[in-house]
Amino acid sequence: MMKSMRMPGRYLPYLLSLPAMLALIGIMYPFFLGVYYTLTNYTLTRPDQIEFIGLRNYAQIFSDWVFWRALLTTFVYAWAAVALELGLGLAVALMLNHPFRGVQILRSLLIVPMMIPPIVSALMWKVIFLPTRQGVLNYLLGFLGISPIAWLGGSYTALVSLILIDVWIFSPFAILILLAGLQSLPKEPYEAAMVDGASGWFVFRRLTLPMLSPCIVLIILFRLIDSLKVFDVIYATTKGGPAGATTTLHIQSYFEAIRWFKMGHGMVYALVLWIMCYLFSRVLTRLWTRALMR
Amino acid sequence: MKDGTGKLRSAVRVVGLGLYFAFAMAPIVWILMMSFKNPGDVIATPPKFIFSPTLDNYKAITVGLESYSSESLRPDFPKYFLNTLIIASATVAVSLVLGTFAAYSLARFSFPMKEDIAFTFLSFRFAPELMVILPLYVIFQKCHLIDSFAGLTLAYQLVTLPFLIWVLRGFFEEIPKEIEQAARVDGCTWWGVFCRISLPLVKPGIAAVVILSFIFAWNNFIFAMILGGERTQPITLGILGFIGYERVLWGQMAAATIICAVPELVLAFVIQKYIIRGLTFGAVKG
Amino acid sequence: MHDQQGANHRVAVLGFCLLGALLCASCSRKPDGEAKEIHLLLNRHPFTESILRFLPEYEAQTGVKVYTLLLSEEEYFEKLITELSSRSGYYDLFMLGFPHIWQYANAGWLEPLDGYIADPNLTPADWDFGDFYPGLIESSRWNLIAGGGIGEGSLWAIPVNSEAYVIFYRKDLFERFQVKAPTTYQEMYEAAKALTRVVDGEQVYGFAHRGVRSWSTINPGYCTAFSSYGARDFDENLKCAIDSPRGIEITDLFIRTLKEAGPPGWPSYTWYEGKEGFLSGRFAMWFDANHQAAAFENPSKSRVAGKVGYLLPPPGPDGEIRSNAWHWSLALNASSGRKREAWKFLAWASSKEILQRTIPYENINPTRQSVWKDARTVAVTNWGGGEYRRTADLLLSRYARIRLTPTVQITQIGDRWAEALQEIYAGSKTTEGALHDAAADINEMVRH
Repeated sequence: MMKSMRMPGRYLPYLLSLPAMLALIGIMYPFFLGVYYTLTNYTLTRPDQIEFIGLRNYAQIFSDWVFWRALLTTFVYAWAAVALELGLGLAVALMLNHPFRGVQILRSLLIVPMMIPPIVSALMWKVIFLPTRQGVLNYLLGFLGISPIAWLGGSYTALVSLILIDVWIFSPFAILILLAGLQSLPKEPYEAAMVDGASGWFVFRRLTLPMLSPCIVLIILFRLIDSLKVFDVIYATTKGGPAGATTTLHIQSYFEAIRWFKMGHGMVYALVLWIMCYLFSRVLTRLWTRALMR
Repeated sequence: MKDGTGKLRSAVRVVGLGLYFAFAMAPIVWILMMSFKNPGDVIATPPKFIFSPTLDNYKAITVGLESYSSESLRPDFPKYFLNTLIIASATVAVSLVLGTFAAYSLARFSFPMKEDIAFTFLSFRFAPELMVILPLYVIFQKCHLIDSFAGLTLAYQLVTLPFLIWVLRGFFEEIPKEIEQAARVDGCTWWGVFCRISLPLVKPGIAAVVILSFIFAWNNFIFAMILGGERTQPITLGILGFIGYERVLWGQMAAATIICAVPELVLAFVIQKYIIRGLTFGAVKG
Repeated sequence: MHDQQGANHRVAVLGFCLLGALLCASCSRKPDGEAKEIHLLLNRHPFTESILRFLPEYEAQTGVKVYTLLLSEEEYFEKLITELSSRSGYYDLFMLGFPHIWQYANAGWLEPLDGYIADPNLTPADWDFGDFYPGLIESSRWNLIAGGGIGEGSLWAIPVNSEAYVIFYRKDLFERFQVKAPTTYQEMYEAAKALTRVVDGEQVYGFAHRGVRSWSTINPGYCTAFSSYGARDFDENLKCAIDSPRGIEITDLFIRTLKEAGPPGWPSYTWYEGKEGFLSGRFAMWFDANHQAAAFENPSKSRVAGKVGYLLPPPGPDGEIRSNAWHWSLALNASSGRKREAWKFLAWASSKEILQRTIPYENINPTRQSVWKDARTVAVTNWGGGEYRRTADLLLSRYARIRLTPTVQITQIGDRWAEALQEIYAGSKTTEGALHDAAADINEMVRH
């Protein structure tokens, strides 16, 4: 029976990957269609008047400061969110990695922020962030003598507030992956280090961190892509305002394509976003394979 | 000396975890309170922490209350809940079946174009939803997949599959080759090794990935909205439905949110013990 | 050992089979057959929510199954756009506001309705087309020529709900602090400032209006004020005129009122925040849709019931009152394969009887004259001791019209205009500068 189960070794990997590939192949057509649209003046409300206009959309958009501001905002939002989530995630995962009373409950509770659909969380946070004393946050800060802040209404505070919401929702992601990673770490190196009398900091820097690096890179990879593409959180709260302070590439793409029916423009924004994700992922996956080989 | 640092460590741990959980749980507690408030209390200024609780919101969304005039048409909520349960479970099940094999082959075998295929899986996650949603709608329409559970399960693979493959690949890679080779020498086929050795060793990884994929599928909004319909409306759209024309029904929305989180919480509690299991194979690694 | 392997093998095979079965099942589903059912995509609105209750009657009467999908406004339009631009014809009937009528009619997504109205086989004799307010029907006709032609050409939709704009004001606060009800916008500014104070320990703001970066911010109070000053969005040559001297003057006054007497965080203010703010007593004035009175005067939900006054929008310097308007209408999908059935439903849903029955479910204001004058409607809308009906009457019959120029880019124009308002509010540009820049951008938009 065992002999008859052995399949041709060469094709096996492809056979295993094929179903997964097929499930995702539906993305290829929309992607290439999207690229095609960037070269046309396709307007949703005038579907019969599509003209090929070459790179004119790109020229228009790249010379518009709205684009560059959106690019910067996307960048800042994504990296700030990822850095905070990773830092917080690492700290909390390390702390949760010890058996103590109630740790099981805490470990189950920690994912709760992620369990609420991000768009709903954002709405709830909008209520918490209400500008006057009606907002819970301002109300509580009032006890510390701080006067109410218009969190989502001010140009700088809006972006900070959104990053805060993102960190609140997604740090559990980092914590969970890091915790699983910490739990899978082998014991010998630590035993050896204890025998050698190494300090906690040394153990952390030379043992834990390198062995966790695949996990860390993975978290950066996924959170970065998701943060670059973020939509729900911004859409539910500021919709890109005030005066464009929180407009990312995805939000602008939404306005151009769905609100103003300019598919050509909208797809350019989406394509730039896609390319950004692609470039970062290339770098990060390379880092990941290197981290594995340490 | 060691005791001293041990106590300091404990103290730091308590404070650190306390701070984080206060930060993480506070809004949840606030939403919980909101779900028990009357409409007047919900938007009160200043925010009310002490109020007389009511079960009206929960009743309204499960059974439907006649006390609101145009706002009691919500008894569909249990149906939304069921829809989401079906879709999320199916999505995770399908992703597990498809993705585990793909992850294993990427981790264990070397074959031409391996990294390209791996990266292609990842690239499916980059696509900004808006870029793909309109053509995807047309495709789905032609295949009669709009408003179908199968269609949504398929669409959700975009959200869960790349993630599952990459994370599991990482965990598979961590398994020392010697263990598997030892089993092969004993006469097991790749399938045997896979099922009886590799899979059990990545249980924490699978557990983490199952709970996270379930959450991603459960919380998804845009695919459900565009590619779904009246038959498959999931809970995310149901919750947003509380933004009525006249006013936002915060109380009911909060109640719906709490109910929405329950299956995820249950799954997390059940699964977390797989994540934390101490693994004895660590003794073999060196 | 063999059993274990076999078991695992079976599970895997089962999994693959399940997936295959799922795919096959969905792909082989037959397309919908004859018109024994219709699919509706509707906005969450008192009208649609009340219609849902009457659906079983319709189904029993006609034997046609009605499937409806109700979504909140934002999500609704996104799904609608996806559906219509794909020309799939999956949904037969949907709801629109007037900007959407312009956009979608231009794209060929709407079915002209005149033929159906005239067909005695499809429209009951007592449907009475003339009962609808002429102004509303007029604004649902367009000959698809940008810049004009409203009231000419095909009828694209049937209105089922209308609104005009009033200034809701707190009679009790005005009386208490001896502020006169404003009769000009300058007076409104001063009254607002006088009433921005702490009242009984709570901060009250004198004036509130919507603020998000969206064309829906332009539409209510702002556009009304803007038009009252005689300013227009476009001139006769379809050149943007929002930066005319009059336009700059009123915009400046309006934003100043918001900055000095309005709540902080105005740029993120949605309609429901403003409405809830007024409900909970935090604003002295709220300039928005008049039918919100239903919520304000409901003592179980509102803290200001019985204290609300209704002001006609003040006239501009030339003494003319010009309010903007809005209406929700039902329209047919041009790509639908079930248009006759869908029209029959539309006629039923907009009939006198059904519209009258939606009134208790807060579908204010009705679009039929008979329904508005009906005693049952009068009883329900008798707010403010008749002040509501008095202002609504005047608005519906005389002062309220759609003040925006029909273009296909109307929503984009509105978004850009709102952005200019946000810039003025933030102080990053002067009123003149922001409006000039917006006008330049808008001219660009219309050129294509």
